[in-house]
Amino acid sequence: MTADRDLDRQLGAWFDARATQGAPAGLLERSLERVDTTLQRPGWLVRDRGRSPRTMGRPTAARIPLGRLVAIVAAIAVATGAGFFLRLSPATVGGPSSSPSTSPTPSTSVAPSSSPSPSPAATPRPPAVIAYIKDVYRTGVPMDETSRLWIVGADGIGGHELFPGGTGGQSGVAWSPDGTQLVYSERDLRTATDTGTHLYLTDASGSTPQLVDPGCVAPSCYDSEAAFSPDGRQLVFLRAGASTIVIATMDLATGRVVELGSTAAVADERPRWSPDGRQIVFSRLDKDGDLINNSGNRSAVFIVDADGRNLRQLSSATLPARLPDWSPDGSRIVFTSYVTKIVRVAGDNVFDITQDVYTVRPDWTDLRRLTTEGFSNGATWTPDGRIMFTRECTVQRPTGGPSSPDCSASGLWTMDADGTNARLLVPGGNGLDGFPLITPGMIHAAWQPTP
Amino acid sequence: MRRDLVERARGGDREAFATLAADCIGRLFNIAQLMLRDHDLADDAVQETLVLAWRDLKGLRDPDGFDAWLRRVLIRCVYREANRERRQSWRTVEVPDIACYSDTAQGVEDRDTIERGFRRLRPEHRAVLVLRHYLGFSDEEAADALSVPAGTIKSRLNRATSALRAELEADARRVDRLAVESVR
Repeated sequence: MTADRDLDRQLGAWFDARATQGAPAGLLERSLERVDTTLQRPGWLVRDRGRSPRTMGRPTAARIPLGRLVAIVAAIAVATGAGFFLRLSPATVGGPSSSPSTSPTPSTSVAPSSSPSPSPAATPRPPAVIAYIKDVYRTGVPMDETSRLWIVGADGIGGHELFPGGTGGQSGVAWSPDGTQLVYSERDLRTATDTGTHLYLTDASGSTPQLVDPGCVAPSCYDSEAAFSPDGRQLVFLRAGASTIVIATMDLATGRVVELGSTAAVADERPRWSPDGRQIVFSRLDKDGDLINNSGNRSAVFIVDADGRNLRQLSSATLPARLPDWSPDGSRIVFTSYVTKIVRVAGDNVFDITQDVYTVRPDWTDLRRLTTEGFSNGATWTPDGRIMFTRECTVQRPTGGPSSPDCSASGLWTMDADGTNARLLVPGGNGLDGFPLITPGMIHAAWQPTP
Repeated sequence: MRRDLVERARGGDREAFATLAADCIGRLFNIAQLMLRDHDLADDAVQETLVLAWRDLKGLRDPDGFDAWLRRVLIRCVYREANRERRQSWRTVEVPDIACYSDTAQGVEDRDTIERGFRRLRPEHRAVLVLRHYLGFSDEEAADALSVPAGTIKSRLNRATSALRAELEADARRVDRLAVESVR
């Protein structure tokens, strides 16, 4: 005890002697220069308790200090969708135009003027491609602002950035049913004023992006996570206001937006039409976006009629469920279960994180777990009824878990609808310092339909 | 007054934020410097802290919680810098040559001994010691700053103290061995 007090005293004296120097000259000015080029996020965009830079996380050891794991969980939460607010938004009116030589300026002419209906298939269509979001963290560039839209062949070959040189954060990709149009959201957090997050339409060749809703302006316009209706005539998307998010639909021919008021909440994510166009399925986090499940389920899948009526929770109370997507034939829903618990391992508090892909019937029966390796999430259906998902292998679960990962590679994967024949399609990096990461989660990838 | 500054900064007033930053930057740097034991890393951590604080300030619900919130942001940035340091082997912390302080005055020697031991600690151990002994935080305050349960603070503080003592004892053994060798 005396030794402890002596050590405490020495330590206190040492701190007193060392910690009085103050900040070095110029630090304040350098910091404020960076502040001047940083846009404040709207309040709803910052529901990341404990979130920290992605680069903090992704350790490979099973025993990890809790502080770092907080960051990991938050980063993964971001990647899988809790962070919809954090990353997805990134897009800006004029975002793609910031580099006009290489990135086409989004058209501000009336957006959805043209019908998304398919062009006649008189000429052979090029092979299908996959649109996906890739992150490259760069020194000096704030986190979350480097998510960019990429295109790669369905064979995993030929990946390239669709609008190279742009600076806006892009996310939320989805194809029209005929594969001729691609919708995504974009926001530039580095502009002088907050211009909101907007939806754009383009195609696989990167044609000049067309602003979907020119009448929607900041501070009340943060549109994201769009998807086409089965007939290609409408979009469903998230529209965020000052404190809540509501699911909205837009008629692409008239531009009329209908907000489904019954869905207003603080953390809805990934709305998707049912194949018959009658219902919309989506997931919802609890009000804090806190995904630690020790205290109970924190996420659930909901369903609502396309006119906003009959909102109800679809998933069970016991299994957290997020990021749903309806199979092309309507027989099943794929989703990610994200379970994070604080457990004791060898005397340390660690996060026991599980992210796996499941499918279930639309009445939430016949639940099937399809993955056990790494962090598998962000699943979507391919047009031919397979499942595409992202898998991260850079973070392992605590030793002794039921499915200690033997995960061969991070990246974009596909598997059959029953979970078999999983294979890596597009390798992804670890997202650190220039190594690209295929963004997992709701910001996901989308497989182009072919006529 | 401070609450007013925070509210103005939260509303986008850059000058109000600059005033807040000027007021707290010295303290932020001291904390970062103590935790990281590297001037450049501490500089980077503080810059990143202020940028993130400005960017995310609208998400702060209680203006009176600004200081605690800012410390949490700082600590996350400190951890990030510490991890970056670990990834870059060329930036491993150098331990001073043991011979350079063997004949100094007792007080300075004590401090240098603490310095060497402290440098060798893991960042999370440095962090909890700084929070407790430099900032004088209670367990609850430290837990809040580190985003961990209060019980974890106690155990982490015990481990940090034990690790520091072990480093000091190892250092003492090295000094003794040097003294013996010099007598021979």
